[in-house]
Amino acid sequence: MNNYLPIIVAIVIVGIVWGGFIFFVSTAIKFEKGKKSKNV
Amino acid sequence: MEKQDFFTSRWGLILSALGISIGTGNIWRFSRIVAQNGGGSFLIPWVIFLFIWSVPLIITEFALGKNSRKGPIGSFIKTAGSKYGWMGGWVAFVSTAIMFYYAVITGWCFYYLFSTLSGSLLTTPDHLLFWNQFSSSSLPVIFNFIALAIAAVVVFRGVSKGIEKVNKVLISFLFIIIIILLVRAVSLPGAIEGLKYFFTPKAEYLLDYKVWLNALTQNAWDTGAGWGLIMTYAVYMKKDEDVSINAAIMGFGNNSVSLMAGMIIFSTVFALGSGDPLSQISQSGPANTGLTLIYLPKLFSTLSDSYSVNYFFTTIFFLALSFAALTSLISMVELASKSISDFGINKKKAIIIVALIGFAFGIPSALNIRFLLNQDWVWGMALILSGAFISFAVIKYGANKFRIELINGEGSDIKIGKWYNFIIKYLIPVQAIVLIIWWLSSSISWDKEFLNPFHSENFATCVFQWAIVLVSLFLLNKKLNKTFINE
Repeated sequence: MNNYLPIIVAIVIVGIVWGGFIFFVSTAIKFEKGKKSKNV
Repeated sequence: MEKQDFFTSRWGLILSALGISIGTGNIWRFSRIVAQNGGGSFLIPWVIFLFIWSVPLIITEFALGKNSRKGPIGSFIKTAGSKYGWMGGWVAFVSTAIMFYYAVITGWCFYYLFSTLSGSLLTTPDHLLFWNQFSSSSLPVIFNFIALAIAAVVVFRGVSKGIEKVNKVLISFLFIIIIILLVRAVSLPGAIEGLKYFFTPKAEYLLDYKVWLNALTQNAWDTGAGWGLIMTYAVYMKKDEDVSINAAIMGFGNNSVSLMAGMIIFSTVFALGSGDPLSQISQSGPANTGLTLIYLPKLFSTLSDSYSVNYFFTTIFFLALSFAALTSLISMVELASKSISDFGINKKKAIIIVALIGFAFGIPSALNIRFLLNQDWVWGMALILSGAFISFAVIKYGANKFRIELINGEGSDIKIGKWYNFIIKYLIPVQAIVLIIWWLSSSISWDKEFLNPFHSENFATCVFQWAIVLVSLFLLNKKLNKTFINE
């Protein structure tokens, strides 16, 4: 179990932080596209 | 009347906001604190405090600046009421005081970049001597001037043509450099041991309250939340611009860079270091420069047998550090000049005043590291009080009203729920009070003469300097109000 612990923590921490960053950037892109198509 | 300048695009605003938060703290301080606090055990509370300190405060700052269209003083008067302009004055003063010595640190990064390019850093036989010779010369003053001059020129060019354009280029390059360094570092033989330590939690550390307090402190100092800098950039965001998603991108983006920087440093030190790698990462050295300016250059010079490869990686490392420092310094110069120009002084004149005063007040820190350490201790701590004042302004306005009208109002892409009210009303004030009490009481234990205000890092120097500024601002409150209420 101890051998897997750093892998599990890495996946959780990196997943939350980088995943969160990517999620919010892609959400912003989606909203920007929506705004642009509305303006057209 | 000067024409209002705006960020031309959402991405320009986001990259500029990331420029505020991504600073030397991500590369410099983060790894050292992780090493001192049990590696993976530190990362767990560090992520939790991203949610309950950094992101809510960043959201608040964005909303305050966007709706008041004023720097911190005007924002506080408009939100909390005329009695509380002095609190905005405190927020502006603290970030300006940090600017005085942060320009010196930016200058150090520039000098190390310059020394890498000239080849002198990679060929020096003694990196500690290299640092000592530099820091005891007049070069830090010259590089302090260069750093402030560059930052002032960028701010002088305005928001869209200066701040936005420069941040778009520098922050994009910074991300690319960090990714290149990360790929190189994790592929070094032996890097896996560093990554293992970085991500392995230890129960005894997780149960230690000091690890949690250090994690909160790192979030408070590193993300730029509660500094008033985001509030100032938000003045220039368009009315139809979103608050919450932009704030989340800033918080998560900043911590993503910290995580990458940590992985780079732990991999490199464990792969190339001799002796105990943990003590090398966690050693502070003079002015906490041990790891970044003494140990890492030494390791980079042994990265491979090829001088060109070592030259390339050392150059891009100090380029990244210089970009990170400069983009944060730019935001501090903007905050100080915006605060002055809010009193009716022409913005360009205000920038020149800030640059000149900044240079003059930075000289003691450039010449004397003990002075710099003192200022870092006093005003770094003061940021926590700034965060508490910002949450107070929201409580005074009405947390629910603030959330509905200013955060979820015009331009919002998503609606923030009632969880925000709870965090801003209870969690942030409690966290701020606990941190201030903990740091000040710890400072009593590490200095027997804790009542001597002329020591560089103790209780009295902090309380004494805070008291002078707080009393002065409190007495000036009526004058501050007159300026903003007459408008």
